[in-house]
Amino acid sequence: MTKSDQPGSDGDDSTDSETAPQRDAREESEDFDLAESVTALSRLSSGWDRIEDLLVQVAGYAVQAIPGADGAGLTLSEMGRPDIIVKTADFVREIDDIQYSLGQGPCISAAATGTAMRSGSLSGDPRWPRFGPRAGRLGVHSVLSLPLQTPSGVVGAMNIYAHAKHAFDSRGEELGQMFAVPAAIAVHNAQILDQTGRLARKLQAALVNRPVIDQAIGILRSRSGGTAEEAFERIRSMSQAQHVKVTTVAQTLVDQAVFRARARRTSQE
Amino acid sequence: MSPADPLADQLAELTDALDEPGADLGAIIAVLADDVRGAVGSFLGLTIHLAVEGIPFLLTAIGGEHIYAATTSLRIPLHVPGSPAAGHIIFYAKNANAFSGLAHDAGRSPALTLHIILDQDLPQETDSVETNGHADQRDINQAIGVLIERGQLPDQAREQLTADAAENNIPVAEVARRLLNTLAPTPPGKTG
Repeated sequence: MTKSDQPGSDGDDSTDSETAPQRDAREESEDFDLAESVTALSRLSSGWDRIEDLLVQVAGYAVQAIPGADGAGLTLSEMGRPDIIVKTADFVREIDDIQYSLGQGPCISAAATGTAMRSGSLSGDPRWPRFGPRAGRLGVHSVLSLPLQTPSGVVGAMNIYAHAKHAFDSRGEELGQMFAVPAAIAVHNAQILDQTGRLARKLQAALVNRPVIDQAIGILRSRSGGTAEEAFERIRSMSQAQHVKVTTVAQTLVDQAVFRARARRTSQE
Repeated sequence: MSPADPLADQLAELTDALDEPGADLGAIIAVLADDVRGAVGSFLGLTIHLAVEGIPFLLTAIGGEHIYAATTSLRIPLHVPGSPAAGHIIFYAKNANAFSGLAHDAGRSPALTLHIILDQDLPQETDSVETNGHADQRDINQAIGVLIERGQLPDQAREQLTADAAENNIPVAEVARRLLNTLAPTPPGKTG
């Protein structure tokens, strides 16, 4: 379901002057652009190191797939809130910054409702009374916002913008929705892989740090006989008081204890 | 104590070791599991296998015994360049081919420099799903700290624990725990 029948959205009036052969040729060209973009999606997993780079690629393919588009932005959600936001052009960054600072706009609406949002005259669109006029003053008048949905729910949204008024018609929206289906899967899988990598780095850092902390806990417990929790709280307090990391405090405690042990051995020889 | 308690304790201790504002390993794992569940409807759970300098660490983070119902698994390597740790994460799902799309994308990512593996890690009923590894290392390292404070160098402390374990035919971690249990509280008025 779409929200196309809203003030400022288009219908199909933008191509009324076409002959049937001209329309067929245009649609064939648009179908080719869509097919190329979807094919590119299946290959994009081999070209990114950061998930943001992948998302920029996806947004770029969206501009290619949807007729009339001048730029695109893509937002991934995490726990229902926007998490990663990328854009293909500076003007998109400006527009989306306005949207998220206001908490109002077509991308937010698309992600929240799971339905496409289309407008051909943002400055006069009553759905976003604060966002629309500001976008219009920046020379951006048309938008197509598409939710990125997997079988289990909305994972984000894609914003496609154009400077011209009434740039997106119902066919453009249809093409966008066809592109959004594989795009959603691609970005969601990339998000999972990115999170897996992030988890790996944090777990590994924690596992590398933990031994020295436990040794420091043992040192403090040997002195005071207290529990491990009490010893760790002492380390944490020292960390906060000295404005250094817990591992730094722990390493210092261990180093000092080893130094004393060596000195004791030396004096006994 | 239920399986969930030692898991939460382990993740809390590891989060403490990270010492990063806002970092909560339990929450990170929960979000990851939630996202995998969003992509794979029959997702059952995940296990994390890591080794740091040869010492293994196993974490059944999500799913517990439910993972025995898995008919498909996806193993993704966890490798951080320059880090002494390495291992893998295994996702489990009930429906065959559930991970085919994710496997395809994972296999093409340059961020994952090692090969991903499908369906080679289906858990057997005899496999333990309890968390282990970290608790043993925690107690061993605390015991090493005790011995260092008493005048031993770190290598000597490890050797003593190992020798005591061999002499008594018990695991090193058990030797460590017995040592820690001997620590007496300091009387009031004295400081450590």
